[in-house]
Amino acid sequence: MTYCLRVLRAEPQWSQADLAEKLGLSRQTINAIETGRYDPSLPLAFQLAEAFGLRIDEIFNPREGAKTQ
Amino acid sequence: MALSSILLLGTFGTDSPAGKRHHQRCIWVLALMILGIGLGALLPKPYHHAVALLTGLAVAFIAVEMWRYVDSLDELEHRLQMEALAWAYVILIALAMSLGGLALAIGWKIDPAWLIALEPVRAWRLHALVRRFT
Repeated sequence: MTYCLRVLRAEPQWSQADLAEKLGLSRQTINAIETGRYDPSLPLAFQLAEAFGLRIDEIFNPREGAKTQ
Repeated sequence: MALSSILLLGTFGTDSPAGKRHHQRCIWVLALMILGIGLGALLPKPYHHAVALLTGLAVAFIAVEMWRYVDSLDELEHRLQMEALAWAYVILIALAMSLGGLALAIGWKIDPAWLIALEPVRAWRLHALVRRFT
């Protein structure tokens, strides 16, 4: 999976900590998702998409650099 | 995630309210348990059973608190804690069976309380998992 969270965060100028607080996550979890070390669950993926007002497939791209855990 | 907290306590620190509550409660219960054991040693032998029972209750309370703490974590932290716990459990079973076999074979007895030494193993595994994901 590839993610563009870092780019998406830049527009509203949210730090990892800001986004983590909005979603009730730890900053380390946001960092792990951003760096592709952790693939979030589907409910969390929906939460992330909702936070940015986007569809889930606009944030998560399963075709590029597919990674399994 | 605080490295010292991971290695010493097997938790992700006191940054979150749940982490803070977990640490505070466990420290209080541990302090009371140590005090109880200390005072129990001064009491006559018949009271030692009561001290042992209270120690068991204290450890059970800490176990329940640990469960509540793990339950309050986000999905990645929850996964890391569960993996570390599962890893420590497998080692515990292997160790308990080996020591049990040894006890049967040569009559050597080991106090099961020493199995608490597996806590650092869990913490070490948690540290390794945290490094993999963060």
